Amino acid sequence: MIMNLNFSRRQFLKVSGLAIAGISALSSLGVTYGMAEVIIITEQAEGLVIGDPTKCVGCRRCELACTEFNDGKASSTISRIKINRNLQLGYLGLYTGKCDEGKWGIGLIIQDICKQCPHPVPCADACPNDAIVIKPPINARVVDSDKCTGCKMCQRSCPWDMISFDSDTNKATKCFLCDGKPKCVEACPAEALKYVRWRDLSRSVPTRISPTSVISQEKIQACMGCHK
Amino acid sequence: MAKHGGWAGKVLRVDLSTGKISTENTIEKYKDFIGGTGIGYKVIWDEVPSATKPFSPENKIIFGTGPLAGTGAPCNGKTAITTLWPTCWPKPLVASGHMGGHFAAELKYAGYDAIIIEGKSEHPVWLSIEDARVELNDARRLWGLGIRRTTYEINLQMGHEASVAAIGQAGENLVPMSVIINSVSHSAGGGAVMGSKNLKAIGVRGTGSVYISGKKEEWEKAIKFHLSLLGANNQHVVPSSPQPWAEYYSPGSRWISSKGRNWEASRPPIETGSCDPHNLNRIAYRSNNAVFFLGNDAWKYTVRGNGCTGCPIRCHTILRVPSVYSKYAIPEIGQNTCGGLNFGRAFFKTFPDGPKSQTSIEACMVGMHFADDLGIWNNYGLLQRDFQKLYYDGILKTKIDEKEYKSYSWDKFEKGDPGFLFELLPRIARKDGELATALGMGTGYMLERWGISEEDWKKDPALQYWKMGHPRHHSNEDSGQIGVIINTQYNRDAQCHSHTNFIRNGLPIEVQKRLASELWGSPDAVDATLAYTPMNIYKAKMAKWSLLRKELHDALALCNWMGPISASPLKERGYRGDDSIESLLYTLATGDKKSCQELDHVAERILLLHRAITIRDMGTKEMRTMHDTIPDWVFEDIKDKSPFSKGTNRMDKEDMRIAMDMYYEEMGWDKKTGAPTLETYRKFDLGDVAEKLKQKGLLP
Amino acid sequence: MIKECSKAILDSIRESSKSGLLLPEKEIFSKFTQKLVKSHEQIRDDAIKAMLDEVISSNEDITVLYDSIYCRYYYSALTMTEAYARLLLLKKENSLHLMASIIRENSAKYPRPIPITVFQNFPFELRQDDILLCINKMIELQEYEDIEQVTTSIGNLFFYSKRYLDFDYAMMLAEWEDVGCIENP
Repeated sequence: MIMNLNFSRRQFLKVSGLAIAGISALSSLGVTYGMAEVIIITEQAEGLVIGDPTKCVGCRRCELACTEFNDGKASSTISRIKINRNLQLGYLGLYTGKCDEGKWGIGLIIQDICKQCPHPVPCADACPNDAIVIKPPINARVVDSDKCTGCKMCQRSCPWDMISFDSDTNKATKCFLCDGKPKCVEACPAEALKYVRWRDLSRSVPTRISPTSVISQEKIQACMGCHK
Repeated sequence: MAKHGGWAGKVLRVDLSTGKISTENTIEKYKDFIGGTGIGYKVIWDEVPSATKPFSPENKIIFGTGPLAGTGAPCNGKTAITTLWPTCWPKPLVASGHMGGHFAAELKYAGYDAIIIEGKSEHPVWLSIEDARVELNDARRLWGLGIRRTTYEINLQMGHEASVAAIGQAGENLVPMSVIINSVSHSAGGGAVMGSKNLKAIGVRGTGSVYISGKKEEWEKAIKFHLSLLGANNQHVVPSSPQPWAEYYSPGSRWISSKGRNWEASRPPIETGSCDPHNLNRIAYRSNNAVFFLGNDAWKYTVRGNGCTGCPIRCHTILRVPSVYSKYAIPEIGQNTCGGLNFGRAFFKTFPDGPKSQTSIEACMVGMHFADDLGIWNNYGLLQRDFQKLYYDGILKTKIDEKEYKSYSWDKFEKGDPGFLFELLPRIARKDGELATALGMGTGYMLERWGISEEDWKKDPALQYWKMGHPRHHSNEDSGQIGVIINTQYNRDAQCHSHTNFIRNGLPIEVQKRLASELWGSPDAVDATLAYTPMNIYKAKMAKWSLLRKELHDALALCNWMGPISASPLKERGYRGDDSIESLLYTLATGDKKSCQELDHVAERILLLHRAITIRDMGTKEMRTMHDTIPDWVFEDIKDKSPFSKGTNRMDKEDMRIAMDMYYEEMGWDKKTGAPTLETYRKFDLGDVAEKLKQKGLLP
Repeated sequence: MIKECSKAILDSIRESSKSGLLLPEKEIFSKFTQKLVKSHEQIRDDAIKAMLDEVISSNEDITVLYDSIYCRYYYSALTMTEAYARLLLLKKENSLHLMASIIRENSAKYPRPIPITVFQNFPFELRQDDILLCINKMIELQEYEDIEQVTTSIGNLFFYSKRYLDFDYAMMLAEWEDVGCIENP
């Protein structure tokens, strides 16, 4: 995926190497010399895609629309909406002994969809290259493929395991809401997906993995700027 | 060589005898045959000598997908399984089965267009394919398990995303009437061929991509266009009841969604509602095959529709029937479509509470539970019809000994108690006893074993037995002579749906005739059901078109149960479909520009190769008399109504002779023998094939 | 005001078509007379009629149908077909006429007999007893003497018109649909 993005960003001071005690003092004095910017996303996304599992018929047309119409190739792996992994044996699946969902269970298929997390945005915070940014006017959290080095740190930081990795481009990729007209929603033959105004669902959805994100010192320091 | 989209690019070859795993370039070796059955027939012709037995290590089994598998082209979930067919009687010949589900897409994402399995392993193995990593694994631990458990075990090792195609106990025990199944309910024949090779299952996980050659905007447009032309299952284009948006309706249509009709077993229930064809976000609600086959009671058990990758038509219905858990201790959830759905029910003549009753639904659930775990095939319903005839005509009693006879609860069978299936089906899979063994052999071999003449079977119209051990599959009952011609061509039941999808699409005969005139040159190509007219050249054209599109779909990995798109639900298009949709999708996906005529040309090459293999392996060119035969019941009528009178499917012998003449003529085959001529082989670049046949004296 | 009112009439016709209903003229009158009275304007029926005519002439999709006593009904062709609108009109009239029309149309056009379930299901939703009552009445009436019935081998009732189908043809078609199609999936 190649995009020319006009990023809006909230700029923070780079304050690495300074004693924590000194931050507030320096900030309040407005000292800015010798400091580069750090991206911390605080703006909310305008919308997000939500799925109704009782309606999902498991055809994966959403996965196909996501990758074919955006990337020109069909690939379940890089799809930013994830059906296949829950399709056969459910969300918790065999490893937990709870394979009661999916085709082999009661038929329920949970659509895994990017939550467009509110601040703090784990994938963006974990990116050492500030490659996950917001794209106006929708403010979806998107991967700036020019900056992405393919280190996969974002993948390990997303509690919902929603970051995909495209081995053709060697870049991470994630849901960018198709700039407000999500292809997956348009493609669903069962009205099981909706594009709605953003609301915080992150706490009501069980996480998939324990994120093991490493936040850079610079960002930690920047966080401290607000969270004193 | 130019890079193509669509195809994954490689064909995987696994020699089970040596353990050697290799790949071939799809484009270099198989492009002229596209994929699917095309690759299958090519391998059988090139590599499997005639007189090979189905269960011999020299037989090969080919899992073929095509360039559209795994893409967003609607209805692309098929994997064609080609091999020497073990139920083909009196001599096994080449045939193919068509497995839906998610196997095809996963195989493509792993980087393969097809898998050729050859040889025989010393001990049970299963094949794992994880992108480039392909391994044979010990399956001794899995041998003896059902398909359900086998799939779980393999998913445990390969992860949740892997698609697993496995055989059950029937395949292991070399029961010819056995299947391979993936994704719960998607089956195709050939289970015992896998079993004979000691191959329990294939697990595949692909993380790669299928590339679309054309511009993504154009692809998106093409996909949406195709979706806009879709009807319900079998491309029925009108709803089954009057709907506000509809001009026509047909109670026999599989488009059964409507206001007030709900997926009741979903929590909460979901209304299927009015599904205006312009609303592409409600296509999945149109069909519910459980209700279509089992009646309105099935609504209350419907959880949702299910089906293959990329298909918005969900022809498999997931049912939740709590009573079967308490009565039979089997899971209350089951799913399948058509033959699979009816598997259990079709054994019984009556049920205590009527034909479309609660008990009949329970029989379906028990049938699916066993058939899709043991991996038993029903030969398009002939297994069940055979069984009923054997019992009710008293034949069975004379063929098995008393002790065995008494080991079955015939009172349960006669009453329509689904519990009877607990006695019968596991025994078929185990070849346990004379009855079960004979049933599992397939009709032809069963009759031979029991010294019953095939003619006796051909005489009974209720059996719908056609030839070579298999039944009719959309023959004269589905478009007169056209269906008959189609049913003469294959070595198993003809699985062609091109004609029946048009005939049963639900449009008034006048509209059908208008469309027929555009597609095949004259309104006379089609007749109203049960009001047939004498043969004409346009019917021969439609028969040929039907067969070519079937082969084309099997090669592209499109579903011939949904195509071709010969009509649409769109009034503004005059209900026209689009005859060139395959060419549009093929060209955009692969980048290989081919018109629909050019694609039909490839399809004809594939069909011709199928014919050549059949001629070679039968060892005769006398196809017209030895192969393309028609059972007598086609020429009879219960009330002795004369052919071409209204209300009969009866065909006329002389007229059918003319029909076959016209068909051979259209195909460029010799009319006397029904064998393709040298010129025809050459026209389709199969000159080398013709040469080999010539050496054996098999050219006309 | 007139313009607003026309727009409201148009919307209400389209809205009712969307939900699968015809809009009777008298409903439009009662609804909009009330509205207009409330707004203290002296408008006679003629004004509404004029507005309706205006709505019809300037919107191609709006169509009018007449029932047997010449009452007018409106629908929008955007969401409803003429066939369905006519069927709804028939439904408002007596069941005998409705059933006979549907049976004849099916026998003539497709051609086929139709199962009793057609009348039990949406959009007719008649009770089986009522349907049988109607059929029995038809036998006695001259104008319905062409309506016949056949029973399939699994006991389901189908209806046809002998003007278009003879008994054998209808019988075999019914058997094909009820049994044959299911056994030959």
